[in-house]
Amino acid sequence: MDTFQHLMNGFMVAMSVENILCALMGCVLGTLVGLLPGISAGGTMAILVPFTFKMHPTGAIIMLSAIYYGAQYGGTITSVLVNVPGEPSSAITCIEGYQMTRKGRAGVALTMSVIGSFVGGTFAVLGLVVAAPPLARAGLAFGPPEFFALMVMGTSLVMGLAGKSILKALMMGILGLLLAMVGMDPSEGSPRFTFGQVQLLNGIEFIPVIMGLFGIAEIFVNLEESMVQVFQTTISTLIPTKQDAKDSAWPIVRGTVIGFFLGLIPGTNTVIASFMSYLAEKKLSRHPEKFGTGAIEGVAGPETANNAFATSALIPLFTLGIPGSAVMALLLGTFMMHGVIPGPLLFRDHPELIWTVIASLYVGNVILVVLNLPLIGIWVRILKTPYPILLTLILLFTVIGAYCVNSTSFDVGLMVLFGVLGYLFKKLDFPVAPLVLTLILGPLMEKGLRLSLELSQGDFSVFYTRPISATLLVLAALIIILSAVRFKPFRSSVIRGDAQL
Amino acid sequence: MRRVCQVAGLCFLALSLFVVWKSFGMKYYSSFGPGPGFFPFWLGTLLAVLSAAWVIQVTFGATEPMQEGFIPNRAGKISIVAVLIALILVTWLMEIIGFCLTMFVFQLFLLAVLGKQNKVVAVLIAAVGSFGVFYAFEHWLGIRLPYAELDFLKNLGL
Repeated sequence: MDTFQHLMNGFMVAMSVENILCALMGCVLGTLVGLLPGISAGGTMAILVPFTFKMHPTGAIIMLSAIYYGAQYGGTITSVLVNVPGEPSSAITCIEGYQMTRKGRAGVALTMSVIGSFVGGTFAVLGLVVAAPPLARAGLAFGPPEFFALMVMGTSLVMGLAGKSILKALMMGILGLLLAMVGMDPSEGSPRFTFGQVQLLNGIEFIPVIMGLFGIAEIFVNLEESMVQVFQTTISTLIPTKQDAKDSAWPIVRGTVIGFFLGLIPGTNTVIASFMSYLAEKKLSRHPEKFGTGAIEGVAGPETANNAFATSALIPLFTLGIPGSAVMALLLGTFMMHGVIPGPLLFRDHPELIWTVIASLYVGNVILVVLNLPLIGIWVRILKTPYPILLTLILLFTVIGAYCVNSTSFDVGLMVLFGVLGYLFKKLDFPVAPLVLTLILGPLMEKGLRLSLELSQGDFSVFYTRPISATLLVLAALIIILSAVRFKPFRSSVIRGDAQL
Repeated sequence: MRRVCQVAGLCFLALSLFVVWKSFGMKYYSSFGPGPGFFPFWLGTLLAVLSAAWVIQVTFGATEPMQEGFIPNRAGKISIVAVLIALILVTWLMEIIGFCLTMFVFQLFLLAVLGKQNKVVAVLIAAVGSFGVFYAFEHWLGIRLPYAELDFLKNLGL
């Protein structure tokens, strides 16, 4: 069966009532969390993972993916209307978007960002359809040494680009690997670091850990300031003028390209995509002086880029099983929880699941246009919800979510512990993305290393005598070295937000 | 800021040394390849080196100024500690007095005491968020949330 037929089959399944409802629920939740400052897409996804236990894997992945890309849409609303980014990726939109609001053009800014997001998201889905199958086929040639090397390179990229200090990123990456060691040793079945706790024999569950690091830590940070109602603006017309459309056309095209290609690189994030797009627009503009005063190009470009990024970031995950960020690692964990291993075999062994998920990305983009334009009034009203009520609901669902993993309050305690640690990590500027990534990839890396050494009968040269694994390992070493010497492209001190996750 | 970073670095160092020490009690290499102690030993050693490097860096390098808001204000501290203690109590009590009662009191505390919301609204939300959610999870989603261990509460269906 060729790609087109697979995609059509995917559309047929994606258009089932159940899957449309999953996409709708994900889009609504994503828009909602994107809208509300202080609640991240990653945190929400982490909270909801346990609730997907009883769902079909396809529906679960559709819903969680929709939360991620939906949050990119939702984040724009608060950036434009109240100058507070709902999501880190929309931070740059505040500059021009809020200026447009002050000029009474909030509706136009939102419409253009929705159009840009739709175009960016849609083209990224097409890119995924075209690029994913050949990449997956190439991945089929990989053996355990190549996969081990690929995972090392993926985590190196994330560590190299996360946060301001490579030292801290490396420490967090190793901490994640150490946490992944807890439980029964895979080769001999002897317990490691379980301290006599039966609950730890199966290892540290990643769900309570990420719920703590993302959800609870975020709540602690928000509690430092009293969250007051911030919204005071009303929306006039939503329809852009011909000039607005003309001014936004090329930024949307460029935003799509920037977002799509950055999404393919593990370790980058939506913040980098939207910042790069903004900088490109400012540099290429014939009227750079307009920037900072409400230039529509500064809204259309970055909003397109972050949505294109959100979709194309799925490509390394689907085809090679390499999550490029903490949120992608979370999706990887969800796949694994449902007994599906992302990677080259995904397209061969689970074509219906993967093509349905891909088709649902397109469906989700259409749903988001409907949710974000005609229903903008509802979102504006939700912005007025008092924070204590939101806090209560979030904590309620985090507690239930953690409890449901194994029906034990041990996991709730684990979540609280990692919440405190996550808060301290945030305070000390320790990026948590490397920890989450290595916690999830740790067992796979250990398995890859063991299998490789079994194949080579204990000879470590298997990693440098095979060209692909040798190249990947050299690249990984180069990334770490260049990050350590602060080589310019690997310097991320100016890019904060989810880069710091 | 330097002192805070030094303490954090030493915590990492202590953890790494503990891991290395524990790894000595595990088999390093087996006939199948690396044993259970292989990874912990090397990861612990690497973490120890990095932690030491960080401690040296913050001790002898330029002092980073403390970020604005690094230490929360009094109200912030009270809120964080209150929520943390409440979460610890929830963890401890949930399986003793049951989900319904624990979450009802927890939410009432968050809304009425910490959030200073209208009392009636707080009671309504707490009731729906505890008894309502318990019912919905058990009867509609088929997910069992914890019942009380204490007999008199169990007899009340809590």
